This record gives sequence, structure tokens and C-alpha cells, in this order.
Amino acid sequence: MTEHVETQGISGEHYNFAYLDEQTKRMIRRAILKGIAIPGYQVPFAAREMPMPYGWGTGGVQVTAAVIGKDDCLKMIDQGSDDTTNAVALRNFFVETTGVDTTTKTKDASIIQTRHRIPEDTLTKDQVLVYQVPIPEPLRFLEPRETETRKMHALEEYGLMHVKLYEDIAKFGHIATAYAYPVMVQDRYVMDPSPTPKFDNPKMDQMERSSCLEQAAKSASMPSRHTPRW
Amino acid sequence: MYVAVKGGEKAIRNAHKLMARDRRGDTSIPSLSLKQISEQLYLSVSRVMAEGSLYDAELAALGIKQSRGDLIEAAFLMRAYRTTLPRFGYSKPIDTAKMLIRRRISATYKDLPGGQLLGPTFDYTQRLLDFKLAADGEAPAPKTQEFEKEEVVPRVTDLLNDEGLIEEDEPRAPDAPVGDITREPLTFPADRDLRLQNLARGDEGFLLALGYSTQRGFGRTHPFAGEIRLGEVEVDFFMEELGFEVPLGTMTVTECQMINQFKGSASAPPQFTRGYGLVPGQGERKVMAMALVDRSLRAEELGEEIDSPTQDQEFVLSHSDNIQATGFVEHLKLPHYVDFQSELELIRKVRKEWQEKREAAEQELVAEAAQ
Repeated sequence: MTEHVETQGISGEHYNFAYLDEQTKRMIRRAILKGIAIPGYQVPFAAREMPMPYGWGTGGVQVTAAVIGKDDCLKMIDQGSDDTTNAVALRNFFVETTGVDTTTKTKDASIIQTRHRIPEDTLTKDQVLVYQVPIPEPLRFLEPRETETRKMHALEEYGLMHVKLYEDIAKFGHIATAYAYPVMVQDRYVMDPSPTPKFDNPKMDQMERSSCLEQAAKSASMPSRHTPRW
Repeated sequence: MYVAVKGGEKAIRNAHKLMARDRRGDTSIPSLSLKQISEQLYLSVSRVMAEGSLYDAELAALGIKQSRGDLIEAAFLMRAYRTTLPRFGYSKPIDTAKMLIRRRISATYKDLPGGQLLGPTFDYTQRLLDFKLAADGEAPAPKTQEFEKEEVVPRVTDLLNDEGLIEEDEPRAPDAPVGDITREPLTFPADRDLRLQNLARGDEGFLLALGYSTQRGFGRTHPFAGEIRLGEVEVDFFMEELGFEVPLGTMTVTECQMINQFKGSASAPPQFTRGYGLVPGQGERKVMAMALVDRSLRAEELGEEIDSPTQDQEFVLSHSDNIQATGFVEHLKLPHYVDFQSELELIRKVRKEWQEKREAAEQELVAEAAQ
């Protein structure tokens, strides 16, 4: 069941459809295409300021804004729920700036933006899943410098991560990471689907759908469709 | 078990109404007009224009009113508006030597060509609360007199440089492409044009603290305030269609040139080096701090040892933006039920194992003691 709300809207006179200007949308779509071409690689893009705070889903909102069209039907989830405060606020933003239909039913949605949970229903190839990812860099807490982490990815130097996981096992008997659990995409790039809980990670594997993980200031990275294995 | 809060929509609507009521305050007191804010709180307006990266005093005043005087929130409103504006191009570089000067001081040369002009400043005031102001007393008008506008008042750093004691501006082709941190992602190492853009919109408090830390020895740069100037400059725009420049208007800017001692290195002779600060509006503290930080960030280029936070590009430039900083710090308010739930499960498991191990060890001790 989809819902259509007639709004006064902030689009039209003062703001473009889906807030961002078309040039910016194109720039983000180019980053997305590059991300799809290099699974797991973080593609930097120059994020715009959005009318909600950085860290509250602005990257996901930009990705959604870049791909949304008039005929789309949007579902917005936060903490696995359509009704949490931030999901409500972000959904209203798109209702106001695009006038698209919204839904709480996974199968009715053409675009699903989520923070944390991945829907239980299997998605089809016509559906896009946009993840809000606060810190897409899996190595960030091991190495705070972007210059260093970029180098580590380039050289496929993931020793630090292996040591961290090993230390967890040595200390606790198992890996003590419950979310932001690192994944290896196509045997090449380590990626962080944070803050998706670990138990949702397997759902990302071998997806029919296209997933786009983002972070506002930094990057779009994607485990592309039909990723052979993690 | 933690579950997500439902019914947020109604709560959000009501919370915003409540906030609007609190913003208005006591309705028996007249509402602030934007003109009152832009005229009487100009330094707040300046800060919002600088950190909001948009030169528009009226919009800044609206931001301040809408945000109840929270200047970071006001700058955020400006940024979110600015980002939607179409980009026609880049103006020609402004020439601060041609500024209509309202204030100009130098701490390095007493008698400098063009003269020193104290201008509107808090400097040398007694910081005593002015109760006449509380009683709405009008200040006596300042003295005025006729004056000849100086066409060019050269910057201190361009003067007295026959001996090459002060480093020259970096040679740069006039049509060299302009970096733009609002269009391209910032990567490291960042060139000085990008660094200065980042600092110009960076948080005043953050830059102030960093600048201060260099004075206290964390990356010491031995600065002198070569010159600080405030006034109006003309902004010109080259129109492709017309084939010539047209003036867009004037803007108020504050500029600071710090002169820093430099003992020389393998690549540069001993000479005075420079740190630079410029912001729209009136923001003297900000430009001074910015100039100190700019100079510190040149450590690598000048072959200085990098051992302090202020010399570290990635540290400074990644954390200077208060719009980003406030968003990310405050996002901790958002529900984190799912992450917290998985953390809870993990810590319960780890605690259980810890307890079991401990009990086993205790039993072993008891058994040993019994033996």
C-alpha cells in the first residue's frame, strides 16, 4: 500500500526537484557508477550541505536525491523501523521536495533508504537499497588518517584488520564486533557496512538488487549486484 | 529488549511548534527585525556569513533570528541554502590594496605609507559593563571630517621588501584554475588555496584554540601582526558573453598578514615568512587565528619539523568545519537501538564467559587449598 501526501512543498519556486541541483545529482550518479564498477572501493565525492545535520543521513539523502524520479516509491527505515523520528523526518523531506509516493511495505518500494537494518524480504533487481553509513572506512578506528588508509587499500594492506580480529579472538574467544563488521568484497577491498548489525551482513551477499553505501563527506562504495563472494 | 520509538511524526510536529513558541519568547516584547540584527549584531552576522560561506547580511540575520542566536545553527542554515544556489562562475580575485579602509593597523611598522587607522574596535576599551547601554542611552556620534580616498594603500608585506626580507606571494598564473572545496572532495596533501578556503569557513573557536596553541609552543611560528585591515573592496566578475569585467558590488572584508620569523632551511633562505587570513565581514579574531594556523600548515613546504596538531593538515582541515562537527557529534542523539542491542548481546556474552572463567579459577583455588 502506498501513500501519497499532497504538500505545499518546498520544491518549485525556491528549490529543485529533490533539493539538489541537476549538476550535483549527475556528479553523485557518476560516483555511484564508478562504485559499481569497482566493488567495495570507496569513491570520494564532494558532498553538499543538506538541510539536515551531517551525520544524520545526509549522505544517504544525497544518493537517494541523485537517483529518485517522479514515479518512484520511497521507503525510509531507521533502526529497522519506518516510524523512528529520523526516518519520519527524512521521509517528509522527500515528500516535500519531490512529492513521490511513500510506503512502509518493502515490496512496494522502488527505493529504500536505511540506517542499520536490511529488509527481510528478498529485493528484486528493480529495487535500490541506499544505506546511511556514518563512517565507511573500515580502517578508520585502526588508523585515523585518510592518507594512510587510502594507501592501505591501494596496497591491499589489511594486516592491521587481521591483527585486530585475531586479538579479539585471543582475548574473548570470538570476534568482539557486533556492528560495523568488516566485509571483504570480491577478494579485494575491505569495506565497512557500519552501522548495519553483523547478523544482517550475509543479506548483502549475492544481492539481486543494487546497494549503495555512502557517507556524506567522503564516499560511495558498493558491493555490486551479483558479487561472487565476500 | 529495546524497541524503536513509534509515533515520532506527531512528536516531531509538536516539538517544532514548542520550539517556535520558545523562540518568540514573551509576546508582549516586540519581535526582532532582521534590520535590527544586521545593524546591531553585525559581528554575529559576520561570523555567520564567514562560517556559512555566503555573503548576505540579511540572510545571516534571518539565520540568527531563526536559530535563536545559535551562530553555528545559523551558519548551517546559510550553508544549506547556499548549496542550492546556481553557480555562475568565479569572481576576479579581490584586491585588498584598493580597499576603502576603515581600520588598518600594523604591529611591525609604526610609520607605514598610507598610515595607521584605528577604526572601530574594542581594543583599548575598558571591559566594564556599560549600564548606560542597558538604559538605551544613545552613544555620542563620532567626529567626522572630509578626506581624500587613497586609490591604493599597499599591503605591508608589499612594502619595504627591497631586500627580499619578506617572502613574495607565490607565483601563480592569473588564469590558474581555482580550487574549490565546495565542488571537489578535499584530498591530502591539500594546496594552500584549498587550505585557506577551508580555514576561511572554519570554526572561529577551533582556529582560535589552534592558533593559541602555536603561541604556547606547540609548533611555534614566532608571529608578528604585520597588518590587519578592514574595509570595503569591489568585486568584479568577468562576463564571457560581454568580453569584459563588470563590478558586482562591494563587500566588507577583514584581512590579516602575519609575519613570521624563519631561520631558513635547505630549500628556503632565512627570511620572514607569512601567514594569511581573510574573512567576509568584520572578524578580526578569526583572521588573526587563521593567519597563525595558515603559517603553521606551511611547515611541510618550508621544511620544518612537524610535531604539533596545528602543523598537521589532515588534523586541522578535517575537523575545522563546525557544521560537520556539530552534526556528527550531535548525531549521537539519534536512536542507536539496533547497534546498542547488538552491543548488549555481545557484552552479556563476554561477561558470562568472564564470570565462568573466574568461578572456575576460584574453585581451582579452593580445591588447591583443600589439598
